[in-house]
Amino acid sequence: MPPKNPLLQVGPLTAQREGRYLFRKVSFLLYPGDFIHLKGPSGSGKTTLLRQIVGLEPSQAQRFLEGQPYPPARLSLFRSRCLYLAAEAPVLEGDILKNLRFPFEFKANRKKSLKNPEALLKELGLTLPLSTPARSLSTGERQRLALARALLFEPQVILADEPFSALDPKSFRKAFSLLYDFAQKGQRAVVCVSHHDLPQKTKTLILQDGTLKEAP
Amino acid sequence: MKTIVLSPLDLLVASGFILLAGGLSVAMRLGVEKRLLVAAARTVIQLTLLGFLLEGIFKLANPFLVLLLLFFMTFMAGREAAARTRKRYLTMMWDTTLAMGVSAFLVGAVVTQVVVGVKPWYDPQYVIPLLGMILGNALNGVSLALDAFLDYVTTRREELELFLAYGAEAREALASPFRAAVRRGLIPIINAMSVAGVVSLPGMMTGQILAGAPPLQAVAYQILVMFMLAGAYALGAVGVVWLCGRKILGRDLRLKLEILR
Repeated sequence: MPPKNPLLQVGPLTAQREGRYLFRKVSFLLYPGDFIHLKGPSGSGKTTLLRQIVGLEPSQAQRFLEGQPYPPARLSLFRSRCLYLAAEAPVLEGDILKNLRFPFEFKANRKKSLKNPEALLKELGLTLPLSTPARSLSTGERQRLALARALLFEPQVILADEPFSALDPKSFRKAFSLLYDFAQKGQRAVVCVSHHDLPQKTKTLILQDGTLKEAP
Repeated sequence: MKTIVLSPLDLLVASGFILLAGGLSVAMRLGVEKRLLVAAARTVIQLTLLGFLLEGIFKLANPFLVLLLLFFMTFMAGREAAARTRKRYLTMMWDTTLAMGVSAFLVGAVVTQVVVGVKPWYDPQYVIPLLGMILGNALNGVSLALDAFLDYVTTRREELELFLAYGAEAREALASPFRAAVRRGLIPIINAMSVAGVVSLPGMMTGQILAGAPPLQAVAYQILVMFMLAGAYALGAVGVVWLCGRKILGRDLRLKLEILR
């Protein structure tokens, strides 16, 4: 089988905290179809690594998606293709629909549109009407809403930071399979930071002692 | 025009009110007596110095001296505005000074040159008090707007980063904090215009009437001043949040809260 071209290539990534390197000159590679479980002890820098990839933390990294360079001037476009899903699962004031629709109002996303949110929400077990105020949702519901937003946004890469931490086993299974299936369709990949054991993955990476290693 | 001249003895009697306020502070253990006395002393010293300075400048009527004083006033206003916010960043004073300077000089130029038609253009009797009034008010608008803006970006960081993560550009991500901040900055002047003449007799108008001007002329000046101040508030507030927005969320589209102290 000929080697595939990488989907995402970001590096070098270096982060320091209080004069100590969290990680140093890490380069991050994703191939189409990857579903990567990113592990590592608390405080090892998993969140910082994901945030650096999308430029929410400072770095000198070069970014390539499908071989195309994304210099800082095209960062919004990069982020619209490589999405960082924050662990806090932030929701906006306003209803569920507003929370799903706001990304499509940005200039970088004007070619995209929101398709059939009800079906996906139902699959995730969120059967509330779209007019429900999002701030009234529980932590677990917010997390599913944030995941739904990411999936409906249809980026090529989702960098999910603890997307399942507040879910019960049943919701976890549904949410996980939706995220896993997402990575399998076309030119896509998912990185998932999780302390859960994940039922399926194509690779496990461990961030520990300043390096990123593939688990055997 | 009839005016009653105030003597130093009159002011001595008036200072009794400060002693009364200070005495209340001591009796009620408010702990503000020291700050009250210092503020009162600053009022006396600063205004006396200004009085002498104005007498001198009015006599000399030199355009460069007038401009120099205007720049000095702008700088002091910028410094004061920067000192009033709860959160700060290193070069904030330059942003407040610039926003204030641009707003005050623009509005001031229109008012003195076009509306009032001051001749010569630098006539200190008009230019200095008008610009002083603009600066004093823009100062309020600038510091309130900046404070609201910095408060928004720190307390709602997750929301802003959510926008950024979904590909928002700086303008798109900062739209809500901009709006909230400018709205906050405009509240004082909107309130002042709403109650002018009903609840409060505006200070400048009061002064003109005390100095013997016909009430309608004083009213005309007061309306001019209110509109001028509204313009200065708006320009100052918009200017300062725009400048601050560039620092807090630069070209690299990253929320740089680490610059705040």
